[in-house]
Amino acid sequence: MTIPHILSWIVFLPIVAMAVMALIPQRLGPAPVRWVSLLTTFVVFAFSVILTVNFYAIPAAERAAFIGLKGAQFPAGAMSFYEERARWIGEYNIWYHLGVDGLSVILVLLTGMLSFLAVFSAWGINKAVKGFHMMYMLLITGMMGTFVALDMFLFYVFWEVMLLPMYFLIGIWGGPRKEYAAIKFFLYTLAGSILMLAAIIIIYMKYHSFSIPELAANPPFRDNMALAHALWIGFFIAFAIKIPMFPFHTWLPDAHVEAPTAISVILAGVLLKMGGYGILRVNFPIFPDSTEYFIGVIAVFGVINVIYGAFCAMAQKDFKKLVAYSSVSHMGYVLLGMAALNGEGMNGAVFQMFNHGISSAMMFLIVGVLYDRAHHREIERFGGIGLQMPRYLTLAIVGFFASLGLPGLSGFISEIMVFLGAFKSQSTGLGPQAFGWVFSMKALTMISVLGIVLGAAYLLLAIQRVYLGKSKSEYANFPDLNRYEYASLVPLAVVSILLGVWPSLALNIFNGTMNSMLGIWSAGGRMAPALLPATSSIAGMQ
Amino acid sequence: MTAAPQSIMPLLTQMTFIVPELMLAVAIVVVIACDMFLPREKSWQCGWVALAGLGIAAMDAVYLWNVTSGRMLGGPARLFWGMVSADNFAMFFKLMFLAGAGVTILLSLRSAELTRMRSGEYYALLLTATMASCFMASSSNMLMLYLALETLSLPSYVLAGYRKSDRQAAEASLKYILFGAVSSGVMLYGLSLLYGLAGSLDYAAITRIATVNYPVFIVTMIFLIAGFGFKMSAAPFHFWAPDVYEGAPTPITAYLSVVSKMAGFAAIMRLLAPYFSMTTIAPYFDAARGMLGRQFDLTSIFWLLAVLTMTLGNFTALRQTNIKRLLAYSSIAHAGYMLTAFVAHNKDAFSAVMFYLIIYFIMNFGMFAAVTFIYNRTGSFQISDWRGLFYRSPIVVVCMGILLVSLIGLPPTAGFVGKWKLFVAVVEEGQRSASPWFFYSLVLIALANSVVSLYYYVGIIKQMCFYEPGEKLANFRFNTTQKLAMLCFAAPIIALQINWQPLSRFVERGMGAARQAVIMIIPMTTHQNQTLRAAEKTHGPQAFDIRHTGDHPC
Repeated sequence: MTIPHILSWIVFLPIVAMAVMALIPQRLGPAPVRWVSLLTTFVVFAFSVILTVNFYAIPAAERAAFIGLKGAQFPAGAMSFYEERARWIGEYNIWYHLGVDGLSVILVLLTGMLSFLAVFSAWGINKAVKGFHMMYMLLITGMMGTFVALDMFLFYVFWEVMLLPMYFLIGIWGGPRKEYAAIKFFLYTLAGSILMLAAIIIIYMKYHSFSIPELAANPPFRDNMALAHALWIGFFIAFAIKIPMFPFHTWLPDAHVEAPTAISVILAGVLLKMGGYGILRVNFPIFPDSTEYFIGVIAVFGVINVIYGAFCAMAQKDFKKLVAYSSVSHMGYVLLGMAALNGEGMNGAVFQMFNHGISSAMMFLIVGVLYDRAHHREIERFGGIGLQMPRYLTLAIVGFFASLGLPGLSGFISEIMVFLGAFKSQSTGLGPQAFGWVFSMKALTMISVLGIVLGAAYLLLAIQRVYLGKSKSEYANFPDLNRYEYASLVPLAVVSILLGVWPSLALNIFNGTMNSMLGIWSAGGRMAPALLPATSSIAGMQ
Repeated sequence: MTAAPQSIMPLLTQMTFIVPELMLAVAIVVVIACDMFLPREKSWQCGWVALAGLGIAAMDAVYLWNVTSGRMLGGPARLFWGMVSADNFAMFFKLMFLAGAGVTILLSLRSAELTRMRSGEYYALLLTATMASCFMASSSNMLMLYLALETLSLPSYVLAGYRKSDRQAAEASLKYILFGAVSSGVMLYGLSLLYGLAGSLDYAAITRIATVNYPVFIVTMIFLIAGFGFKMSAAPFHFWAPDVYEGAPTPITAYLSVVSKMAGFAAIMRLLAPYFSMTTIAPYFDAARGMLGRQFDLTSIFWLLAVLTMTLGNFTALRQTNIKRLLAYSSIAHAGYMLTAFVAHNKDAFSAVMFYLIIYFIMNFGMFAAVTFIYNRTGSFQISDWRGLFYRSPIVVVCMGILLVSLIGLPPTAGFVGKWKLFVAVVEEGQRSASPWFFYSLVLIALANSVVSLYYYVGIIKQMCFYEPGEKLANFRFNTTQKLAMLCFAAPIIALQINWQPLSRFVERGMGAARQAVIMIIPMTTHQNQTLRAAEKTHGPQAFDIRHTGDHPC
């Protein structure tokens, strides 16, 4: 089934829903608003599924096209559903340009799914329901827009549009320290994005184009490497704050902990991916030389993220903060995988983004279930919950094990791909001549493998303290999951198990795209490693 | 263009180009006359008379806007022996001033601060200030400019202290007078230097002394900038702003923050346009060489001025608890953003300033309208008394939120577009220049400043949305007129992000005519410079005494 302008529908349907919600009179109560929200997110999810199915239907060779390389020259006709282009502001050569390749499709799918499932978790919110769902709709527009925009100006607008609703969603409906968390999130992200804005303006003034495909086809400032490096850093910091990369990560524990459950799900599941997506969409193809130059830095920071995040998670007393720091740790694998700059690593990075979206969303929902009943999140005070809520325990175990990378669940596949990619990577670490083998990719990989052990440690400890042990009287009357909680948790568990045993279902979406993106460096660059053909590296996995 | 700028039109025809001002003069008299026949409690009706006068003037300004586009007359003209320019640049600002005065009057009619006060002279003074602003935007001679500036200042002093019984208002008025007197004195000194050097007060004289004696030119400009900086509330001439903004009646605060500031920008843009359109200026200053890899010249002064103004405005605003003081510092910061255009000083930068001024007009009047409406019910200017306003009137708070987000400069609002245009112009100049980081650093500082500004603007949103309503808002509600007014301010802010090209074209028309006017001046001066250079070759440096070569409009 082909839907004309499907990308525009996905992006702007929530805005339409926002207008509809605004018109619902107050006296009807919160129920109609919730249903409009659910219906809209369902339609958006359905559209993103349709988009994905359509994407599957096109021949593998075309599916492998990476937007940044092929420019706007997709074969006409069959492709029309995934590119939309219209002049927007002629004065600055700004285009309303939407388009997707494998990298975008998988994240659009993730966004559609999580935003639909999070509505169930937001069902119990009773404070200013209308405002909540209107802001939520605006948030979805911002997120979807960021993943499909191919014009840098448009990309920036969507990137910022997403900030404001997030500020309100944390600040109004959040926990005790909501004001602090909300403004911290806002300031951090804006501080990063102004660097991006400056970089966008500088590129535009020289090349008079905002088109990501065009710029990727002719990388800018190849004659002025110092400036190219500066711009690369500008973009990278903007995205690294979102990921969040080590020195910029401090907004995340606050924001995640204070946000209501549904918003934590979106924050961890989707917003962090925008950082990774931005690096792969902008930094890598538009500044391939600078990327190569800084690749070791990405790898080192990735490893720091993995280890530091894991240690922080281990030290947390707050259940939600533990999950938040586990996100820091898991996004480190994404950075490490990117830095590998080979088939396994890049595919692993994207797959890890998707899997982390599933598993962290699940973990936040699991914590949310507990918090709704106990009204506190102190790990030490729990115990024996599993006896009271056996069905909940089952789903919680799936979520936690998916997160720590148990074979058979999706997290395992992506983490092992990242390690394989990074270990055999030809990327230089932080200058092999200066530090010897200590900072080589092999060493970095071996250090980051420790993250698995640490991850198992803090997750298993948490399971043990919260779910196992003797049942406590204060938690004796906790009811098991209700239908809203089932509705949001079960699909995620299913996806996690499904992709754990059949990873190529997801890998096939972006595998070709990522491999053709690697062509940027293998084509004539310094590092022309024995890159594996498009699918063979994956074939070994299956 | 003819060599003689004086129009060959008969005087009466020349008068047609200042009909908006003349209309305002008539309206002033009519308002005062009406005031005499109206009892005190009905004297507010003078506001409608003033509004009618503004309407007629605005209609004529719209008509002249088309005339000066060159469709009917065949080009812009300088009138009254070179005192006044009649071009689209002037008409653009006249339209803005008239609109601004109109909004101010509407706010005044609805403001609780001004009820039970004799208001005939209030509106007459407002119209006088507006008339002076119109002359300020169109004057092309320093003397005319100085007269306009003073005519704008004097009613402003009175209006700032209009609530006579209020101690704060009296303090505001006195501070305003003192700072105004000092800065206009400094400016006058600059003018005397200029006249001594160039033998003329015509704007073209600026370019002459720039090419002849650059250091003195810089000194003169610093003195002149003191006068303009006072009107623009640029640091370090901003000290009056917070106190005056706080003490003046809110509509007058809005007027001062928008119209008065715009007049300052209009005048300095016209003054510097000939200088900036000169292709080669060799700075004679080597003393401070090396400021970000660039010789010290007029743009360096503006660089410092812009950075100082925006940084000071934003950082001081962080600590404010009174909404009027906060908006005062915010308006200082915005002056700083707009001053970046004088660093870029290309055509795009100037049209970016004009574009930004329109958006600033909407944002600031919108915010001050909200302040007025809320004060009417609560009698308080404290931001903490806005606590929980969202739960009393979501629509108005959403509108205010849009305006505040626009003041930060975040998409999807017009404030982002305005900043975008400014910074693009600066970066554009950077890529032409041999010292790009002089410009890039300015953009980075300005962007960092908008992150700082986020904190206090969002602080207002936080007060309105994150808490339960306080007792001051116990029975608070906005009436329908107020809601509609706020919607009228917020709607264009969003619409301009979706498509700002119509406004861009409008600004380009205003700018295009200004450039024509510049072109008209330039041949005259370059010709004179060539004559000077030739004279220098034959007669030595004495030939620099250009007093005898310039034409004397005064």
